[in-house]
Amino acid sequence: MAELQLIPVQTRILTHRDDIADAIVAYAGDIIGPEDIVCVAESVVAITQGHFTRPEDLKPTWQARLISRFIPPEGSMASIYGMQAAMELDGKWKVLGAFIIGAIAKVFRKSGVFYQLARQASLTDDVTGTMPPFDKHIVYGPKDPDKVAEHIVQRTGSYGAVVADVNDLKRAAVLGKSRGMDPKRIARILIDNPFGNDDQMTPIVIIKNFASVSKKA
Amino acid sequence: MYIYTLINVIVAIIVIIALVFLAFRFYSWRQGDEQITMLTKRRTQFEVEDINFHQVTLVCDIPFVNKGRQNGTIMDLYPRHLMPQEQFDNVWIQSWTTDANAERHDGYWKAQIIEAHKGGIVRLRLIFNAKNGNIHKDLAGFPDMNIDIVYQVVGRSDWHISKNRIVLTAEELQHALR
Repeated sequence: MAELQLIPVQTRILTHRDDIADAIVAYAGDIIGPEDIVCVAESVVAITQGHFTRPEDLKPTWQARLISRFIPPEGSMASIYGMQAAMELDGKWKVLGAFIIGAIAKVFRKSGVFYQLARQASLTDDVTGTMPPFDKHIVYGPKDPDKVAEHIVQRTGSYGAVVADVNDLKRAAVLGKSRGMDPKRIARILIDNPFGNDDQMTPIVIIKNFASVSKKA
Repeated sequence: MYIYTLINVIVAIIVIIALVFLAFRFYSWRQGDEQITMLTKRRTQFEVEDINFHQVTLVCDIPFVNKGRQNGTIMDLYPRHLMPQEQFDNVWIQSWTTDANAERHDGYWKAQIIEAHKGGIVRLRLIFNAKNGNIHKDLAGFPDMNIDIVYQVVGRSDWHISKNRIVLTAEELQHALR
């Protein structure tokens, strides 16, 4: 009787010279079946897309200097470079506007509005957010994550694919999905972070037997 | 009359912007920044870690602390030993550093966040290779050598590069080799 099984897949360090779908086929092609879901870490997808920058390449604006001062120190946006990186993609005025609206929302005890409005602010990882050699880089969120997921399904013949943002703090979110996937359900399955920490180098997780288990449920 | 009112409005706007700017500067000052410093005076003495006929490796631990009120990230850190050939030319010298609490063997400094009022230890290794064959003989007369610990830090404000200096004295080297 088939059961859900989570299989982390170890890879070498993937870079902007790699194609994420090719890497998945190379490292996990032989274990992916038609009933499985392929999950891939969002930061690795972004890195393979070359979607990162360095603090040294950014010129922080006054908006970045202003807003970052009001972000708690543990957040990626607490750094002027992390904030500037988000502004490079979202636009400095949009992020400033999101910050003002978020601050007003907080007065009414609604938190998280800033990150809902300024999407890159929630997806961007500041330096130290990923493993070497990208620990000295600011890594954005992945581009077109739904398309990436669809591409992975086409290449691997899997039941589905998702691009996920998961951490050890029991936070899991699906940023991109192939057709028919339920992001909340997949996020619940990934909540214990089967990707592990950076040193484990397992940016791919296969959810085995997902389709057959779903049919029975 | 209209011009007088317009001037008043402009002045009021300028004053408001200036007050907001000053309030932000005061807030930033109160909030503070990182202040990561190598505690070079508290470094350990150089000790021999490995020695053979041709080569000796010395090791020394240098504590560091973030004296500031905000987190700081050491993005990169490396040693720079300063021994010009005009001063001494009997040995090849290599130097490299690692985080003593998470040692690496590649000389790569993994960027790490240092919380306010916390710190760590940098492990510095010096490798001397004899140019003429016998390391003991080739190190005879080795003078004081300056070593800069160079580190790139980012906190709440712009990234910057700092350096703190330690000195491997002639006496300390000879004492370690004894």
